[in-house]
Amino acid sequence: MKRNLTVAALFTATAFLATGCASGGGSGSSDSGGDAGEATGTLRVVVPNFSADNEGQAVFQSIVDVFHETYPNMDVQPDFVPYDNLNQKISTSLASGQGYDVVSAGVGWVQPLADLGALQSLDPMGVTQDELEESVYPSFVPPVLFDDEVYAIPIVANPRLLAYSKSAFEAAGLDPAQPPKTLEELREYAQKLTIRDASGNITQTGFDFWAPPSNYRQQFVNFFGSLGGQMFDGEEPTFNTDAGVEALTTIKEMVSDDKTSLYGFENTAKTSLVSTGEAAMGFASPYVDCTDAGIGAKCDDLEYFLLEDPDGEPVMYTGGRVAGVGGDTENPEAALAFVRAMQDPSVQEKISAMDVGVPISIDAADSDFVKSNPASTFATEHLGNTVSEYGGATFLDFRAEFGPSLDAVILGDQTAEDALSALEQVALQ
Amino acid sequence: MATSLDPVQAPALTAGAVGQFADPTASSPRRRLPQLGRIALYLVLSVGGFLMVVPFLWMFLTSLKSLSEVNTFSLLPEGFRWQNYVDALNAAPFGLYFRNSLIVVVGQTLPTLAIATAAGYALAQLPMRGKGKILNYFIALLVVPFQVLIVPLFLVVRAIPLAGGNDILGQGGTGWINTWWALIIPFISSPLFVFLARQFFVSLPADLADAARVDGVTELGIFVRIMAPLAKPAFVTIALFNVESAWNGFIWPLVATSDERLRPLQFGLATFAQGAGTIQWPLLMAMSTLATLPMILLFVFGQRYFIAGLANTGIKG
Amino acid sequence: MTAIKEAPASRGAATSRRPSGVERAKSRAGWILLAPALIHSFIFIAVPAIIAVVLSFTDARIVGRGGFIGFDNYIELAGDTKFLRALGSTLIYTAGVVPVGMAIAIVIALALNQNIRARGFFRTLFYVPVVTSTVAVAAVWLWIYNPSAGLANQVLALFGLERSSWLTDPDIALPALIVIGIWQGLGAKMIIYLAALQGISEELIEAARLDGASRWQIFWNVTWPGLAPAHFFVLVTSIASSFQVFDLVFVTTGGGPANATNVLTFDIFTNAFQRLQSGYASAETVIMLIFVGILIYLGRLSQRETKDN
Repeated sequence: MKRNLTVAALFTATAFLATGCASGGGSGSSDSGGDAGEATGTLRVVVPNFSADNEGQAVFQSIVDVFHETYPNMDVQPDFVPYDNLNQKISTSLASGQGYDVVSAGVGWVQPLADLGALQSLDPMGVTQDELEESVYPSFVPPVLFDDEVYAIPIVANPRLLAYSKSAFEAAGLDPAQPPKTLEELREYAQKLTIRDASGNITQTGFDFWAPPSNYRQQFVNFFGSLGGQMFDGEEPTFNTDAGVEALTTIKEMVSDDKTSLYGFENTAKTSLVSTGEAAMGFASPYVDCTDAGIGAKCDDLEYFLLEDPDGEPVMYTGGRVAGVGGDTENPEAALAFVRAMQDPSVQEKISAMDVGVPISIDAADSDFVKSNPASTFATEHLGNTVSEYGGATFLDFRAEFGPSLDAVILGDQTAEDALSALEQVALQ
Repeated sequence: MATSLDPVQAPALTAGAVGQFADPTASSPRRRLPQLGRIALYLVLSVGGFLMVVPFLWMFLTSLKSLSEVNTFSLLPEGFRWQNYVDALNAAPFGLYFRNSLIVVVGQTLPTLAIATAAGYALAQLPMRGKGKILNYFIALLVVPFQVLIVPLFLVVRAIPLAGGNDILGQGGTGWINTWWALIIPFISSPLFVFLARQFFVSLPADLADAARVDGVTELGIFVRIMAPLAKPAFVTIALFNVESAWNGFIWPLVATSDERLRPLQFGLATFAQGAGTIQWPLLMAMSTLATLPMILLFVFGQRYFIAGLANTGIKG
Repeated sequence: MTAIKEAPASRGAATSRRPSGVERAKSRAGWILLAPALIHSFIFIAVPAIIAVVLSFTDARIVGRGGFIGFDNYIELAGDTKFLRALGSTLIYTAGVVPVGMAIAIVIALALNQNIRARGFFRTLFYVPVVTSTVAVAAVWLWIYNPSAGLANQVLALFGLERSSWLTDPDIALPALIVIGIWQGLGAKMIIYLAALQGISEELIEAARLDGASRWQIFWNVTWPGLAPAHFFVLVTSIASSFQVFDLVFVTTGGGPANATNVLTFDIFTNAFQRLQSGYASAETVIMLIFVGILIYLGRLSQRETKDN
């Protein structure tokens, strides 16, 4: 009896801890409203994928330097995290009531983080949709909107390109100046480009999806985009359409029926197969090292291309890095200034080099980094024609189901119709 | 489990083993295995041992390759690029990370060796009411996956009273978050090692302790001076396991700290694996090799204590 | 041992020979020795675990933000096919890894406890996987299981068998993962057995030998019962770690293909940190703990006859 009471008391106490008020926190003294030059305090910044090596530290310092031009007396405390662990940091910070002042994340995270209160609207601080549409490529604006307000500012785009080997095209009797434009052509080309040995092993992949198992999401978004599809319209899922079924079925047919690539296969270094010469055609990174330390002379054999949508416009998949102001910061103005510092052209260029991305600002097109290699140049030219993976407040739930569901179709366990209908239900929850 | 050996004999032997066999030299000659069996044994151990170290070999050999060599799987590098090690060490403040990991390893392991073994000894050898239930409590704790404990543990560590600006109720400040305490104190004991120690002490004979009691040795003295030395393999095992887990800790240090100056080696290693599509394999493997070597050396040193009959020698000494 | 220490206070063994006094002193010493571990585990594990249990009755996305919803999470779990499949996969994984892993570990430990040449070297070889970076382990096994030219398929070809897709085949992925799990867990189990073997009396073995017992009889009647506490420890920890397998899945299959290797802890991780559904993930954990508890209880029953106390 006595023990039961103890247990009950304990339960109540921890219940308080678990659900009760996570108060306190904050980030030092604030001086909002005052002069920026006088403001003191500490700004806590969580930055995923800023490697903690000297290069990452240097890039971060360059942001701080820009920030200090307007807030010379404010300390900045960075928190470097791998993307895989970003949610763990965000959930502990929210749970303990010690949210960050500045949160940098992937483009699809803005809406769920805004919904959780980890980000706050930038509208009251004067960041408008119109302003964004002028400064960055327009397709990056919808993902950073939540309830029609701006919650984050795009910093860097991480596109995925398509590439092919000219010599492989010639060897297969295809015109190296004429890459495929539609899904149908792509599939046909892939069949012609696949080479197998006597026992049926693929020795040259026809089309490499550059995806480990359960990760055909971005590839699907790209294929779907080439049929004119958009994953979401605001919060509304719009992928359960004939075009969605066709895009997914095409992946399934290319992988499981034509076998022009091995499902889920990556090379040991996890680099794209087309850049190493293991595939004739496939998805590729927006950065290629043409020096001898990289792929060297193979660069000359690689050409970049994109699928075209029904209107004849090229379609490029892109992810991206954004940054916003933390939900419960005491220094929103300073936090915004820091976000602006990340958007500074010189900083964008440095982050791009580190992130294997390209600057997202319209006027960054002719930066040195972009011109340093053909893949970045190509990617930047097409930033006006992108599709992205995002989708409202339930995006995190959706994304957790997305990859495995696509798998089920690709491996022939489920029809594309069934899988997309089930996914639509998840997105509508 | 039915065998032909007289079942009555076994308990008799157990009783005899403790006191009677006084001459240490009598037990030393081992019967040699038959020649053929020996060859087979070496063969199995060699093949098995090789299968065990292939990933380690690959790790080491990859650390000597150029980036483009890693694309296709191979064991031997084209040339030995020792420069990778220099580059890796220069890429990030690894001196700092090594130091931090060392502090955490020592800070966790020494207390663990005392706290967990003391508890294990008590549960195994001393008469306490409800010790079976306490053992079950420890076993129950060791099966809770850490993924679920991360956030609640964070809240507990943040709510340590009177630390990091907290009031007596643990409110208002940051507690131990972002301090050495957060990295060390939650791991200065572990149900796993309490359980492990208990399982070792339970098979030690109680006679010696009783004899010491008659001589007037305190209970603490019996644990420290008589029983603990008999359980050297247990101490070595706990030390090996705990050093290994502290050295490889990643998630908790990442969550509980934000200051670069507190972050461990594994955090430094993770930096080579970031960036879209370009994992710095040779550098990653170079640092992984350097990080693994101390663990292997520790084992080479520690396994010397795994010598059959050690416990008995201890009894006689 | 002859040095006479000061008799402990009043109820010391030497002064008062009443057994109850000795027993009380022993008991008191026991509680003192136990206290630090007990207090520590309560604050840093039990309290967080209880918080997790409380959370399982809430709809919290983030710990601390959510309302009580009674058993709704559990009701939802009962109909969650992904969770049920994860539970099944975990049970299969455990059933595959634990017995086989234990058996191999005992054999290796016995072999490495012989008086053989280069014993330390061989022991080190078998220990190396314990400390090898998981990323390197994954890279090598992904190559071994590479569907086109991997080692595993070359071995199959040697026997004229058809190639397999291994980790990318939904039907084969889990068994293939079990093999890696056995490989990876071998070193730690071996160490425990090796350490436990040191406690088995050499004299006991010698005496049995003088009585004319065969090697096999000595093993079954002396060595095997002497390993009972170690068996129990290895059994419990193997079951626990099989249920908690995470890193291996994270770096090799990511739970795929099509959730074929989505084991419980991975599903819990997905729900807690990918989806940010802390309450739901906690409920999953509670169910998981119940299953582990049952398994350990069953394991304990099977050990009753040989267990020490």
